[in-house]
Amino acid sequence: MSVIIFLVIVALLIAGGFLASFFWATKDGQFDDTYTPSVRILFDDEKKDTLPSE
Amino acid sequence: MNSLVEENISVKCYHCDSPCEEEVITLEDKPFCCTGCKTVYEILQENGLCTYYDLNENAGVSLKSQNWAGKYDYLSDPTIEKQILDFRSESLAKVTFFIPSVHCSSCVWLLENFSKVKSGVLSSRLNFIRKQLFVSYDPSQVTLKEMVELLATLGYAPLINLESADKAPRSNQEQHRLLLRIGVTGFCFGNIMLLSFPEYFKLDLQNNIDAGYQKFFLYLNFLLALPVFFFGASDFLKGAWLSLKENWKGTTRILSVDIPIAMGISALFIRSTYETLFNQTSGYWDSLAGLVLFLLVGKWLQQVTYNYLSFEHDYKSYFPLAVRIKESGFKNVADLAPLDVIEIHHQELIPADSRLLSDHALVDYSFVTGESASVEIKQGDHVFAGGRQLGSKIDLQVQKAVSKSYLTELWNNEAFRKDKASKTSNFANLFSRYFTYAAIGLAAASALYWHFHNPDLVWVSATAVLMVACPCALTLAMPFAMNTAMALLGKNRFFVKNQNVIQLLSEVDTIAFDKTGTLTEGQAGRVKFCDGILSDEEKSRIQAVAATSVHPLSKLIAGYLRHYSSGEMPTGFREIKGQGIEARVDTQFIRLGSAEFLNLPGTSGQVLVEIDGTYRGYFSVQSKFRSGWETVLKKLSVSHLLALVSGDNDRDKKLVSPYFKEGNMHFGMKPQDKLNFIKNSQAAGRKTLMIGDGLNDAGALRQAHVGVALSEDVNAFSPACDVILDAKEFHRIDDFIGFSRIAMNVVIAAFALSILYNFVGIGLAATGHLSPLYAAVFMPLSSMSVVLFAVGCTWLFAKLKNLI
Repeated sequence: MSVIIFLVIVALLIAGGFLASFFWATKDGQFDDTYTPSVRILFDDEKKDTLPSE
Repeated sequence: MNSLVEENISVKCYHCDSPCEEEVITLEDKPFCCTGCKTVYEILQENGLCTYYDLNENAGVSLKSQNWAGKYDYLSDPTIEKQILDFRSESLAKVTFFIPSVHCSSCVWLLENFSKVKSGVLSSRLNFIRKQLFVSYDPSQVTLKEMVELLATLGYAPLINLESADKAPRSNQEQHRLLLRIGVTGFCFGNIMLLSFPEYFKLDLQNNIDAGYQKFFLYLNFLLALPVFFFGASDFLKGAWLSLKENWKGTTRILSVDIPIAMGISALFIRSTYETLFNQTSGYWDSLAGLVLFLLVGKWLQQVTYNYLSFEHDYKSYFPLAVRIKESGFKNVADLAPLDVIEIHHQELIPADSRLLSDHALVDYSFVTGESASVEIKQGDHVFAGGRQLGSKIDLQVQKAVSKSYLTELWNNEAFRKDKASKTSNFANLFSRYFTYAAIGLAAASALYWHFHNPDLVWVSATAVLMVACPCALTLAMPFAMNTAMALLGKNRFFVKNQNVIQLLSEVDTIAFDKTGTLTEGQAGRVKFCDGILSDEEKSRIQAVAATSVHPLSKLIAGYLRHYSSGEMPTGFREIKGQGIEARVDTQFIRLGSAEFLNLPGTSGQVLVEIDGTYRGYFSVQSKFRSGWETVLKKLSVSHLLALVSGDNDRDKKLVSPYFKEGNMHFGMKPQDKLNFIKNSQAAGRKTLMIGDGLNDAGALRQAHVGVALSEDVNAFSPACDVILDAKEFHRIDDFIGFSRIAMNVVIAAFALSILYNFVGIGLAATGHLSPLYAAVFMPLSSMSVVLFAVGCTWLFAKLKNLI
């Protein structure tokens, strides 16, 4: 049953990894603009093919 | 062309959706209202960007009556350019534009594809809420001026003013720190809860294996609680320490609410550490983490503001960035020195107090003084900063630097220096003095009691009282209720700067109104022809005469009759300043002007018409008042003292007098007078709300208990204020003030509820019954129910007030 101790520690480490990524995302400014990405994601890419310049 | 107008009245522009009134330009079966709109369509089509129109129909910005020829010339000046750019190297430059006209997803799409329209632009990214466009470009391929001009052509003219050169990086640090704290505390809270579960379900301590686990979980909890206490709660601890220090020094008598919070958190931490390390029993780790998490969320809500609106503008937002120096390029307005000679064109703002070198000028000071008539200025006279030149180009010699000008002096007034937040103390802070003493007193009392009855319980009960007395629910009630109120008011286009403002708003007992632009709609007057009938031909001729003059009344009449314009040129035009005009059109001799001018009876605000020596009637020019202004004034006058502070003359006095007491109507007020008026009323102990719109109200708005800036377009610039109100919602202002009172009452009710909880909790604690499990259930539950109560009631009352 001492495997539980091992499991708890592993779980904490994994969660700690996510906490670290949260730190990174915050410092990267991902929570500064929470609106525009929701608009941006709706744009289609397909029309790009017909562009003369690309 | 006239018949075309009638037929096409329903045709909507393919680009901007405004009706094609004057002419219809057709391209590929698509109607356009003006060449500007057509040009945009052509540019987009050429670059394969017509998805713009697929995303939103008629997404474009109307380009009517826009003319920017030469307007952006100053951007090619290297020193000016440097002041705007965020970064510049040989092959890369970065710039941030503020673009007020951004309004839909098509805008996002087009602006982020800006690199396809203009070669040399490397990338562009838009923050929709803040309307900021971040552009990186190659300065060897494209210039700043070209980019700005193209953006303006597309209808997305960036706003560039004196403020653009102030490169204060927008600080997100504060927000980031709080987010990180919430993240860490949340993480620890979740894990501590999980690891505490075995404790809740009563592990069998006789069993050796379970006892080993118990110890492991216990120490792990202890480790997880360390960041909660030292990182998550550090702001509260520091705040309490600062407040204690200030009280010690005697600079303030207010005990910050952080003190009882820090007491509670510290009691939880010390007691739990003791339990863990010395008794090997579970402490109150889960309660501690939960409490800190709640408090942080409350703090976060408190910080939420409308970050896309700016409440802090000063004169820098009104002044252009650069001005043309005679024969030597451009100069940043802030660097203007006395004796510089500057050129000001039609409709440009005069940036500094100066002397007129040209023959004469017509200056519109309405923005500064609220006076709607323009002023004629002769050579050698002084012109004040903030006026707008009408008509031809003028040369000016600067007399004073911009920051020392008559207008900007207002900003040196002490009203602008002190922080308004200091006027209000957070509501919770008022309670905290009693709260702190009560908590300490109760803890001491219960310790004393148990000292005589059961000495084992002294320490247990005293710490438990301090823990439970932590005013968590109390501090949460305010941010949650206020945040809800703020959001609901915002939905109704009444944007308050922060939560404090709602409290200030609920205390208001006097309301001062500006007239021009606040009670009335902008500068536009309403013209009506009375006392006679004119034929269409005569109207056309009067229009021709009126259009020749630049006097504001003539312009109003010319605008009113613009549909009759036939292009006939008057001859023998003569203008007598401040009196009237006369001219011959075709065979008729037309005279327009005051009663005095025509030797006829009449009153001010009337322009009499005489054709060939016969009196034909008069144009009455009245300010156009906002719809519903009478009702709202009537409603407000029931519970508030109303005052009128207008920079304009008293021609509308009769109209407004039923709503204001005789001594409370003030006309011809200069900006400084308005500020002094507010100051005097405050000295008399009144809490005054000021509603205004222009720069001339800036001082009063700032000095007032609450300053409300009325704005036709909330994203455009309004003077520094506490509230930005959409002009369309002006008639509901009594609802908004009423609602702020209700919101404050909800907060007080929530306070009462949380104090009730505290009594129950302290009862449990003082009798020594507060087990960790009880605490873990009771403390979050009390906080949650208070929060739900506060938010729920605020919503309910908003519904009753028809705010939702």
